[in-house]
Amino acid sequence: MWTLPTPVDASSFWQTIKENDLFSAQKSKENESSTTMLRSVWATIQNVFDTKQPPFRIVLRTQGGQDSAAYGHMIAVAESLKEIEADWAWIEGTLLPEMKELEDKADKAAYALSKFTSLVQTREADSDEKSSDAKFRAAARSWRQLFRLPESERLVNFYSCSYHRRLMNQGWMYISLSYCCFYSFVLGTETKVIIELKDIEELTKEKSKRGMVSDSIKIHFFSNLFQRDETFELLEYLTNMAMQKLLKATTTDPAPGLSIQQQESQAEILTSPAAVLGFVTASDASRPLKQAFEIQKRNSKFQWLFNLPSAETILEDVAVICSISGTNTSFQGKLYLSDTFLCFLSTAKYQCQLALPFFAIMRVERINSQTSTVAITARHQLKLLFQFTGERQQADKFCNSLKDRLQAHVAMMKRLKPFLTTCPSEDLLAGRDLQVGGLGVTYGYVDAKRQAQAVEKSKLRYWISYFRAEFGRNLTLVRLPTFIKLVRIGLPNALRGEMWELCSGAMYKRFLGEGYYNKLHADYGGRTSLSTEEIEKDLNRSLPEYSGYQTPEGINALRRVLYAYSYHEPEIGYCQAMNIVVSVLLIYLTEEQAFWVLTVLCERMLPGYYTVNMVGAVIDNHVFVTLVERFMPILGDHFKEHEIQLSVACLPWFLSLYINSLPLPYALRIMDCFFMEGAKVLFQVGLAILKINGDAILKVRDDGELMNVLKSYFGKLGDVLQGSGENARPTTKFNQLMLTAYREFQNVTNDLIVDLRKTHQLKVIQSMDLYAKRSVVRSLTFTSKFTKDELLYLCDQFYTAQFYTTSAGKKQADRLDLPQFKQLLARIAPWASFDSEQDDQLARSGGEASGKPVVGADFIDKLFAKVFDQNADGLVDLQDIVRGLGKMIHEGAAGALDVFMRAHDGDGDGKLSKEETIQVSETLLFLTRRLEGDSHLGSVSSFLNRAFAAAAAAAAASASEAESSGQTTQEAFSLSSATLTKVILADDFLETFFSETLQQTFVLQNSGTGVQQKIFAPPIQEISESLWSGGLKWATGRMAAGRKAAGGAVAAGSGAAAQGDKAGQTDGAADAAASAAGGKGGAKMIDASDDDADDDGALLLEEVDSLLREADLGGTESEMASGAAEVSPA
Amino acid sequence: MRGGRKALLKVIILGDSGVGKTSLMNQYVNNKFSTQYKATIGADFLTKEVLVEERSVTMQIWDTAGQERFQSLGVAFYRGADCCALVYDVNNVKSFENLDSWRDEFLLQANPRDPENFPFVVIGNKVDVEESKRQVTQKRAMAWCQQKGNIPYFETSAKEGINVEQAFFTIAKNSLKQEADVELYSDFPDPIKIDGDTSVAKSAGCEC
Repeated sequence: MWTLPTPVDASSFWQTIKENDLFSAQKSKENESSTTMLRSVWATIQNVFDTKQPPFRIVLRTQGGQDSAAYGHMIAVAESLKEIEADWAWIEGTLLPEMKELEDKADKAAYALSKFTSLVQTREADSDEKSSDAKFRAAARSWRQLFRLPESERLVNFYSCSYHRRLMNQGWMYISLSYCCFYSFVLGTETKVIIELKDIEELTKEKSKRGMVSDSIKIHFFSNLFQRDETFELLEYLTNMAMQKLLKATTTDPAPGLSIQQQESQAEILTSPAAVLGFVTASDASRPLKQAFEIQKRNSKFQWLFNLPSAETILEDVAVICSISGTNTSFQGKLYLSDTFLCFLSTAKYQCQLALPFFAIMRVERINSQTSTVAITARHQLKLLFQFTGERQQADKFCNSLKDRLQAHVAMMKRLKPFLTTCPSEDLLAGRDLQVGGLGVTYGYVDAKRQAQAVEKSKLRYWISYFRAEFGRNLTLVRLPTFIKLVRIGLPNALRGEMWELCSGAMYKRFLGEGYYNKLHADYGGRTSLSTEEIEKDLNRSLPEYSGYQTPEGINALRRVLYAYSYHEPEIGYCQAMNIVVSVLLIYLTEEQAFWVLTVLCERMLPGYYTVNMVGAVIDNHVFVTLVERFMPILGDHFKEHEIQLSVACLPWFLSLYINSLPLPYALRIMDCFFMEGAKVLFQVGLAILKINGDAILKVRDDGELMNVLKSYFGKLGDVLQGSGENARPTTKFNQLMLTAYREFQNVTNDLIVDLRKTHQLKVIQSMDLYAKRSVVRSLTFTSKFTKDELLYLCDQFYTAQFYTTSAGKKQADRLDLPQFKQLLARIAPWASFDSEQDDQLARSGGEASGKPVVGADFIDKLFAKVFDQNADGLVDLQDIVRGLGKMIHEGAAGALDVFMRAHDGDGDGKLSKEETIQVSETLLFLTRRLEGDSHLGSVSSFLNRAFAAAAAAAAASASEAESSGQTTQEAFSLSSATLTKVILADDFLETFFSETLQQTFVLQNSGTGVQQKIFAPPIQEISESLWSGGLKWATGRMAAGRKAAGGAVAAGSGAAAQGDKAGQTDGAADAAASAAGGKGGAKMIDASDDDADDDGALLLEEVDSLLREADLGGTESEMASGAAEVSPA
Repeated sequence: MRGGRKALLKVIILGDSGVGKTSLMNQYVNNKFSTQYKATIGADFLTKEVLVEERSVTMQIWDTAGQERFQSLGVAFYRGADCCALVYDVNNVKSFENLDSWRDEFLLQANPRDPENFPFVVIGNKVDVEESKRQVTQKRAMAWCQQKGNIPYFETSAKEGINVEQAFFTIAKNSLKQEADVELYSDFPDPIKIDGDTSVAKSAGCEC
């Protein structure tokens, strides 16, 4: 393969095998270096420094001869002579003629260099070798060679580390999209570890720079990581992606929100409205993966920080000092520029935060004084000064980008004015009555106290003065400490909706997605789905006590919002509790506003809560339990001791934002804080509830009693507590709760929650996955004689095969197509796996490896089409697989033979034709050679003979019959199932093969630990080298047949003789056939077997011959290997 | 009073969303019906003191969320249940057809000692709705109950308080009987589990 031209030295390690005036093809001498010990050390060094080189290369000599120091550029490398020759042929055939015109040698070299550079860059446009980093490309190459993962797998990064397994092995960890691999080669011991990311259950960072990965049964321990945190984060990120995919893989029902019509047309499933809207970020394909992931991570953190839509990415960021007219203080912090927003966050927590959309900016001035400063005037008289503290160039770059973005948003400014009429704050400042809003405008608000009116008024006064003080409002609002206080004391009803919408970031989405809500109804209105049915049931069971929901107006609004969401995100559809949350949102927000808030809740604030498996809620429950154990260990122990499941009491809190548990006025207060500060508030309040009731809780002994304690507490939240301290004022129990939540649990931050969610996600998803698979297994109607564990393992492998072949976003039916089926089979039966090292070597040394993997692949195709795929739709489900494997494994020789018969009976007439019989023998040959080596070739050949004899007898019988009835029959050859069975069972070896051996080849349990250790003893290595050079000699031959003949010659007679002897012993007929084959040309024989036009006896015999000859030659190759093994040590 | 018996009976009410589980529980415990219940999120329970066979026991009645996806939240409180009431809406055939999976799910999660003889009660609710809307006949429901091992069957109206008392009385009675049986069984160390497994597999095989 071509590589990016890399300067190389003329080294004595390379031996030139071909040369012209510009290029040299070279072969590494490494294999021939003197002592074995040195070689082992050399290999260790190569591994530790990851400098492993492919054994062949082509060098473009750029300067002088071989002696100069800078010798030239390496432009191609290869694993085999064949490959390097192909490259060489291209150079001679294509490149050199192209360069004929060029006179000067230096010109030629320069041309060639640029040619190769462009060649490599176009070819590698979509591979992991994209990175121009030579080191990375080298690593990607070694990784591909070492682990033989699917082609589509891409390396993300690699790290030096050591792996603990009795001993420490220093080596390399390779992290790719779905695997974590480790390789080390230390003094003759090779260690390989392959961990499937989707199987990881726990990832932990340990003290002193160690990382640990544990999957289902085995524990892997890596240490000595130089960049532990980076490695950990990358692993964590990729594992979580794998988990998300896993989740999708096992939920295979159609999306609940899809209408019946939609379910029928696949095309629509793939383009759900949410995806069309661009909320699903496309990864940047032009960058290497590792970089792409880092950018993605940074962006999602940024979106999280400012509650921005997920399409927003950071374009620029600079350090600035921000001052706002109206305050005297200025804030040090960072200014970010994204696609639609200018964002600022102060370094000191909670001091100043703003996200200013470009379309709300009126004027930008660059003030060029000593320091470079930008003055920004936005709507609502908001004036901001940003003084750049970093490099001047950086500031210039930032300002240029800012200018571009502003220009791009001029068109949007027109939409701002109508948009602002939907913001109550505008009405409020203008002294108007509220024009728009939720049901509350008509049906009133819910308030706990009688003095509510007065409280509302004074709160509004504060807010108006905040807005007037030029801190912006709605889209331009700046969050200063006062803002946070004003929210925490509880929002006034008039502003509640707007603040929820703004704080959650839903307001931005509404602005950018203008018209989307109505379009959803226009496009999908009237469709029914499982979700709409479920919504209908719950409309009257959402907030029935509120007067608005006792009228059609309220119910219809609720219906439309929930319907719209089920259209928007059909995979979530509708989940109970959404109705309750939305019913409260609608008191304060219009339908469209509530819809956007709901999308923010489902996507970011409560991720995964309302999905079909509610995985987010389960994870958060685990997070909550962890927090209880961490902050209140005594309570934690108590729950453990009495096996009290906190989830019974606490899950509804989170799912319904406390609305279902607390009196509504208090739940609203919690929602105020929740929308401003995120999910951590839910946890803080939950912890505070348990803490305040700690004494009572320590007395409960089961779930029921716990719920009773909590219920009675929630009923008394309005009670007034007398302060105990000197200056303490009387306060309600609810205020005490909020104080406790903020004071005692201030360490519960959003970052902590996100971290803990990641930690628990792995375990939760694994257990959900197991649960889902269990129920799949339970639903099987026929289980053959497999044990439950075997079925579960099969099910696991079934979904694994699917896992690696489908893209993450796509939903799939739980059926496998042929390529997936092949993967599944390869995973459970070693003979069906064609990418072992052995196959590779065969392919390398002998071209098609004597066609053996081809026969095997053909057999598997047949198995799929004729045995497993019963309804012939090109897909098999788990039931088909269990049925098919059951037949092969649990029904003895008869079952296995039946499978064989059906697989090879192409026309399904219950009889095998001549070709089909030959195919049976080829399959047998393939299987027995893979499983038993070459010791039973005789059995196969005798099978063929007997089969033909039996068929001939049958043919004779039928011929005479035909004669008597006066018909001429073409069916001279046919083998019935019964005859096949008879013929097979006549041979002891084949009998055993079909009744035992084949069955034993299936591995239906987790095999081993994913760790392979190989020790290379020097003599074996030597043998393999001599073999290798033998292989080279073959490879120089042009024709496949010629190559084989050369191979036979190398075998030095002894092997061939042995083979001849054995053939003689096994079967006289085979012997005769073998010797006949020996005398004939190979190529001709192959042609003969392809020719099936007529069927005279001679040709029939020739076909048998050709088959046997192939068997013999195959035998010769390996015979030769063992022959060499005997000879070499001597 | 015989020793070892607990005075608390745990009853789980299962069934599709909207069949009236919450209403049934409230009708039985508080003798009240309201149109103002919220959809149950997660689980909730009420208790009631009852007199069964001259014994006073406390019934702890657990009401559950009916939406299918709530199953994945873990149903820890199934464990230790003494009886399970399967509720469907006689005017909604789908809610009846789902009884099978509710029963299976319960047996799997609660993992009772003797799944074959665990006391279930089937309740067809909303019989107050006009007859023309009815989708599941009494005959069909009773046939199902018969087939699943003679499960007692009741047709109720939580709204009008028809048959509710009787249904729950049977629940209480059978729970107590179950306890007594379990005590008998507990003399034999664990002979039931293996049985149970194969029988589940068998029945799955026969139905198809």
